[in-house]
Amino acid sequence: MTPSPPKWMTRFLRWYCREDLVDAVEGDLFELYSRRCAKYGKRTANWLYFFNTLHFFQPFAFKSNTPKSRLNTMDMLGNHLKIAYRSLLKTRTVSAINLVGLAIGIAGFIMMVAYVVNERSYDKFNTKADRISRVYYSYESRGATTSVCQSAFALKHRLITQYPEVQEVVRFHRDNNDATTLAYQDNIFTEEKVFFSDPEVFEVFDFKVLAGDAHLALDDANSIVMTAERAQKYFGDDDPIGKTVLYKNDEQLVVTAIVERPTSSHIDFDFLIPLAVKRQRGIQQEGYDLEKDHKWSAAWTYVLLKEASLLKAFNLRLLEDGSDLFGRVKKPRVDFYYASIPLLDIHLTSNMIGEMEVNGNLQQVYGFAVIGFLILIIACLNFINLTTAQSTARAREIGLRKVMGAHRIHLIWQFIVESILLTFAATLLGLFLLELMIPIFNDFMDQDLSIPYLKVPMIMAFLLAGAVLIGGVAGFYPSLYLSRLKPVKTLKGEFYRDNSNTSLRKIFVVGQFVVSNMLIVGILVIQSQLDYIKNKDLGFDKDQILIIGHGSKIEEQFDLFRSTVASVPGVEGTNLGYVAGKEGWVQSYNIEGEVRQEGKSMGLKMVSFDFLDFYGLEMASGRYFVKDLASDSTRAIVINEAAARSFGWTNEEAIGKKFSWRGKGGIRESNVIGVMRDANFESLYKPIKPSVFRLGFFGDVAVKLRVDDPKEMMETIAQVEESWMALFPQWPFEFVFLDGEIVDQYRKEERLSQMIQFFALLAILIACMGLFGLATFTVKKRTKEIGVRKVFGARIVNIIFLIMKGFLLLVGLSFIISIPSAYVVLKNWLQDFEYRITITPITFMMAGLITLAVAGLAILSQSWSAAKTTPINSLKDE
Amino acid sequence: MKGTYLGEFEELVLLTVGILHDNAYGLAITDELESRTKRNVMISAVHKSLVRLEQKGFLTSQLGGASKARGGRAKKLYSLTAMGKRALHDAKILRNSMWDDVPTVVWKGGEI
Repeated sequence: MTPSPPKWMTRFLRWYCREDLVDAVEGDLFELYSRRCAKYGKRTANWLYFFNTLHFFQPFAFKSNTPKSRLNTMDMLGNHLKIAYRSLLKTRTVSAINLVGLAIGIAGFIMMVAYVVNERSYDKFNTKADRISRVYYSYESRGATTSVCQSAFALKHRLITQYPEVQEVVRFHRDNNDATTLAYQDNIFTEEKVFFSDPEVFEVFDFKVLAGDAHLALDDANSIVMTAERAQKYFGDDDPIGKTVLYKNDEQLVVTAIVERPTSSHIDFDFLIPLAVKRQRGIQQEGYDLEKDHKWSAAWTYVLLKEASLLKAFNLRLLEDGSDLFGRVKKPRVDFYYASIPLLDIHLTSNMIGEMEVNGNLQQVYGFAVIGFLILIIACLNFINLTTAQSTARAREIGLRKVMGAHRIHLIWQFIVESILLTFAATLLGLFLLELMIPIFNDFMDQDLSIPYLKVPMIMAFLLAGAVLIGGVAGFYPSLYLSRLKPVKTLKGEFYRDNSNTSLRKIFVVGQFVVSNMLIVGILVIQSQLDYIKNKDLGFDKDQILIIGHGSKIEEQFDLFRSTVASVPGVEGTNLGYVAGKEGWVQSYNIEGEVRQEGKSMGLKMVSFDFLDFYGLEMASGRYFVKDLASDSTRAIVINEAAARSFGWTNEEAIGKKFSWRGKGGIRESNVIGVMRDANFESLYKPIKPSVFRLGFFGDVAVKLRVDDPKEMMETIAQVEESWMALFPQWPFEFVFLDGEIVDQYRKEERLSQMIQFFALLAILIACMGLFGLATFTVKKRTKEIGVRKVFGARIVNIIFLIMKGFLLLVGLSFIISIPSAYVVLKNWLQDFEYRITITPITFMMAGLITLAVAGLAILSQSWSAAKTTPINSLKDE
Repeated sequence: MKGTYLGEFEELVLLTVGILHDNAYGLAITDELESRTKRNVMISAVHKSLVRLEQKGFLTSQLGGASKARGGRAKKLYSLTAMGKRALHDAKILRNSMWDDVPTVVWKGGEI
């Protein structure tokens, strides 16, 4: 048997040695090896063989074909870059438009993504988020399901003792009835976002604590936790920990911890106070112990489950156990049930009665995501359009490349690389624009967006991948199209006659303007609906009315205040109690003589004697409360027309009907003494609520002014403030205008409209830039034609019309296409409002005119300059 | 034209290819060179020269039969090209003419 050399040495040789030599060398060495084996033995032969393979490790034996072709690729890449740069410079305007358009599109898209991500990130900072859920109850009555997200205080003890799967329960409560004032030395403010909570709050939620020990923060009954912003407001730069603030003028609370304001949580508080404070005050002032209250649904109750998987079982048990609202309803005739909603679902999906704040809207979020995507698509279409349009300029280059032996795949790659490079540049520019846009957006949308580029490396990776993807997609069609050109045709100059891609280009333009049109129609409709709501006669006076919040019962001194203020010039009246335009309470009423299983849920407004005149309301029948009749304050009620209607009475029949309800001292009864004309006290989303009006002497103070001159207005308000401070020095004079408050109810719509405006603007801008680019290109292509036409006597107007006609026809067509879809979407949106405008053709006409005008402007300058050119200049080079 | 110059070792390799005629492959050339020059010749050096000479156009190669003795690998058989023969010839003529011009006295020693 012939010995053979070690395999690995041969493998080494074969690895580096070039193919046309390797067999010969290996064979020679093998022969040599056999000879040496016989002569010196295997060991020495192995060594010598090894040295031989090493000796051959020289450049002459290396595989040499690869470096050669690599050099070529590098050259070509360099050439591509150079040509890309040159062709960009050659068509400066169109390139700039292309770049900026894409940059705006990318910026808009990133911003949308940031918004959606932000909306979806609510409450996710809680590490135990998957185990936390909020308890709520629902009931079905008269075919409608109502869900209430607050529960009774005492529910906590039941949950802890009877539900082994529950680890912790945290309640939140907020005083809605009266304003909360806090004071530190001379800094007295009225605060809104003051929440009472349980000491375990920081065990369950991961609010970011900046100073102090969170675990002990609410343990003491006289402690308070505040956000850094608020600490700054009260204490300036002093260390807030250990300072004492005065709560509602009579309770000393010590600051125990400072937290960051939880902006990305649906629990958005400024202050946290132990629930024990509230309880103590209740016991002292009214003998009311909230821990024993099973009735008042006033606590947002969050449970921390021992394991996330227990949620289903927990909900099931709640449903079974709570059908009588845990004993609150003795003989329930309505279907009640308890359940819980996972913490992470609350912000985007929960829309129950008593939400802490207006939650986000999943559909709206997705709607915006779609808009962002559409804008990106518009920008990409633009890019594709302009690139293919420019292809005439590149046709000769492509022809020549093909002649010189370029394959189609080489050309495809060339254009894709070019497009990706351009996208990179656009992304950079887009990021720059984004930085400019984000503050505006945040202002508009009342958002707190920022993009943490450096904190999250994924963002950079996404941006990079996104740029490559967009560049690839946007460059794909042009590259296919351009690489298809026949060299013979392009070099002969016949390319100009090839119009095969213009129809696609037209489709793209139409697509862009369909989107833009829809957005414009959207803006117009939403805006006019908002105007309609803002200006709709609500049925009561709301102008020049000051609402002054305060924190305690002031009825004893109120008459004094009224008489002082009455002497101030410009003051027309004062009122204490329910403020028209605000959400009132709800109570169940039974009517005598009617067999009803359950009471009828009706709106309840506690009003004063002045209410009717103060708000300019009218009675439809009967009379309003009068001071002289003592029985009016105990045994009389007024209802509104809607209430009468809901019982099937005429306004006259309603008088004298007896209503009964469950009050503090048991069942109480009253007779209807009058029917008030309907007014839209609550939101225009809903029909007018059947309501009961009863006498009550508490609530906010309202002062009605009648001043024409804004200067005098300030003076009048100053005088009202003087009277207020003289009588109620303990309450800061902080007021709002009622009409402003009412408008605030429609902030959600306002925001929606502003957001859509913003993006419609972007869409139009991009689309018009594209149009401008196309016009530039068309004009250039038709220079000679225009020259000839002018020679034959065409006037400037004719030329302008000639060029604009084609484009405006496309815009017009896209307008027609956009009408049906815009109509359906907006009709749907308007369904939410009880009082709404009808969409008229005029709205669409307006939108169409706007689009046409803007598009016309975009191409006018190009057409104009084309029409102005002296024909000799355009015709001489031939 | 670059590289028509023949180095000493290259000339020897070229001549050996001529000597071995139809069996001129790497190892055989090495053996022949070793036996004639009594020098230790590296087989890699021979292959290097062969590659270079082929690039210069003095040699051409073809693959010869594989045998078991060579581990199944083919020989690369070299033969002189016209250009190679010409180069050898030129070199020889150059030497001869130079020989001729060396005065006889150099060989005989200072007797004049």
